[in-house]
Formats: sequence, C-alpha cells, structure tokens
Amino acid sequence: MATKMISAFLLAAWSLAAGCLAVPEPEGVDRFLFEQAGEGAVRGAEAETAEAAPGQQRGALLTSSGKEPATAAESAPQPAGAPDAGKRLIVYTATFGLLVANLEDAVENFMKKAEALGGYLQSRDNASLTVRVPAAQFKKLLDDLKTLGIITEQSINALDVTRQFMDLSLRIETAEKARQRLLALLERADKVEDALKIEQEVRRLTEEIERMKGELKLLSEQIAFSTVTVRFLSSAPPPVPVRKRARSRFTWINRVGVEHVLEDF
Amino acid sequence: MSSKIFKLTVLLLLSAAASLLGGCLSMQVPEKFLTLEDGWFEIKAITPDEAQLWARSFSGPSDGAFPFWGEALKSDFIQNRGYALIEERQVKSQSGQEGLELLFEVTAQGQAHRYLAVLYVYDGWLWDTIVVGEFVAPKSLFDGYLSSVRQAYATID
Repeated sequence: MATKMISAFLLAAWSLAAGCLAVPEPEGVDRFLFEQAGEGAVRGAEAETAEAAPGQQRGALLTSSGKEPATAAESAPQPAGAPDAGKRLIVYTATFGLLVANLEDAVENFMKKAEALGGYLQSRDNASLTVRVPAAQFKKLLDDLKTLGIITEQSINALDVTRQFMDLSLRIETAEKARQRLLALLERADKVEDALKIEQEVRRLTEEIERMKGELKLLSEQIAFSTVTVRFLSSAPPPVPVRKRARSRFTWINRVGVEHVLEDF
Repeated sequence: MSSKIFKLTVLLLLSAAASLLGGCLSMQVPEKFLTLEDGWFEIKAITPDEAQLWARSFSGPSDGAFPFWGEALKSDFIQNRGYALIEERQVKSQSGQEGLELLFEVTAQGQAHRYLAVLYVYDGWLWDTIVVGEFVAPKSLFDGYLSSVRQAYATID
C-alpha cells in the first residue's frame, strides 16, 4: 500500500513539474518541460496510480489542471518579482541604420546618451553598436537617436512575454511544493527502496527548479532592459583605394598629394 | 667707380631674382605642431600623433591663371589618383590672396586618411609662384586638427 502511495505521489510530482496545469504548449524554452511531461506520462503508466492515489493529492492536481492557463496564473499566488496584475510584460528590441556626417562623433554621442539613461554597451562591431537601456528609457533613447543623423532603416519589436513569465513562475512554485511534499514523504518512508526512489525524484525536481529559476532570471533581465542596435553609416563617400596614376603634365602637381606627404615628408 | 657699378648691378640682379622666385614662403604653424623645417620654399610641421603639415612653393608658367591650376590639381587628384572629394571652397589668406581649399578622403597605407590641400597662385613676371599647403592625417585624427590647420593656411604668404 505504501509503495502504491509513493508511486502515485511520484507520478503526481512528475506531472506537476512537467507543467500539467493545462497550459498550452508554449514556444521555445518551455518545450523541454513538455517533453518531460511526455516522459512523465510514460513513467506514470508503469505505476499503479489510478486506484492508489490519495484523494487529497488527486484533488489538488485536478483543481489545477482544470483551469485555463490565464485563470490559473491569475489565481496562483504571485511569485517574487512577479508583475502587477493586468500589467503586460514586454521585451523591446530595436534595430536602426543611421546615416551620420562623422562616425566617431556619432558613436560617442550615442553612447553618452545611452549611459545617461542608465544604459550600457553590450557589444560593438566596427560601426555597429548594441546597447541595453532600462525599458522605461527605451522610447527616450529612440527619440535621442533621431537627433544624431538620418534614419535609413528601422525595426522595432515588442514581444509580449507575460504568459511565458507567469507560466514559468507558476511551474517553479508548483515544483517547489511538490518537492516539499516529497521531502515530507521521505521522512515517513519505511523501505530503503522507497527512500531511494523519492531521493532520486527530489534530486531531479531540484535540478528542474534551478533551471527554471535561471530562465526566469534571464527573462526578467530581458524585460527590464531593452536592446537597441544601431548600424552607423558615414555620409561621406567611401574611401577609394589609390589607383596607379598616370602622371600629370605639370611637374609640381606630380610632387604633391597624400602619397608624397606620407612618403617624402 | 666701376666697382660701385658692379656691386649695384649684383644687388639689382639679386633683388630681381628674389622677386621672380616669389620671395620667402611663410606660414604661422599651429600651436600643437612641431616645426621640422622652415625654409625659403617649404615649411614642414608635425603633430605628436604624426599628422603632417607641409607648405611648399613651386614655379609654374606665368600664363596659367589661378582657376586653371585649381582645376588641374583637382582633376589630377580625382581622375588620376582616385581621391574622393568631400568639400571644395574658395578661401582668402590674411593678405587678401585668393585660394582654393580641397578636402579629400583617400585610403593610403591600408588606412582611411583625410587630406586638406590649399592652393594660392602668385602672379610673376617670368613665371608664377604656386603655393600648396597640404595636411594629411588618419581619418580618426583629422577633425581634431582641421580648425587650426585652416587658420594656418590663412597665414600663408
């Protein structure tokens, strides 16, 4: 009986950690969790769960899984750092092409403006700069950018990650609760075999929680700081390599020019 | 008596030669520059980061007018050497001499350089004196000296 109870709980833990809260398949980072859910179902099928699971635990699962994702997210206790209810979480990114008279000056001015707004340089590749600025200053930086030159191209992207954020927060919370229950169960386990199974599951859950927390931290950082990439282009004509010249008929002209200054000075 | 006439003749000849040659070239070198040479026909100065300023005087046929030499110089830089003309403007020296200033961009020694040339033509009896001021610096340094070089060009005489 005890073995059946433990197996049922392990299945419940798998399902919880794997995101069985009826949240639809999300894109990108969450796919891993749903693959885990499939694995969990296979593993769960091996255990005798249906009649063995205690009503309280099953009830908890059903309550969560019966809700729509948005409702589930709203009703769940807000995790630390969670957004205010109704506030959308947006990751802003923008890419610009900017035609300027003097490249060096424009790059320097742009960096000064970004730093004045609390931003920082993320990367620089020749005349292409990527900076991160606090999301609240994103629009201000774009306005400032227009004063530095002529915009030749622009692309502004706002990605709504509210659902992804809430989903991840909820999964972490649920997994932490499941882990606590497993630890409680571990204290009551009589057989060594049962204790080992529970410990293995606790380890797996702990790793999963840490991974999800990492994802949440990254997402929070992306929300807090917007990314702006600017490709600066000089309005001066591109430098033309010096060609092999035909000599002028005028002697003095043949004695002046960049080549002569650099070589005969 | 004949000795006095001889001395006077030599003096007159020297004066005529000096006048024909256009006299001594002068230019007020900007403060940040070190003067390397200050001769009759050329002045060389350099900055700590080795941007070079060079003013020289040449002789040319007297029937070539200032607009002719300006066009000849510009044409050679653009057509024969592939320099990219950024700016062209008429200037006037402090002594009132009309001149032509040309700003070019060119790749030299694997690096983008900017080149500011100024041209003054002084009419002479047998031949004209052509004075050319040249300033060359890597593009990244150029703007820092541009203003002071232009001021120096205005003092060429």
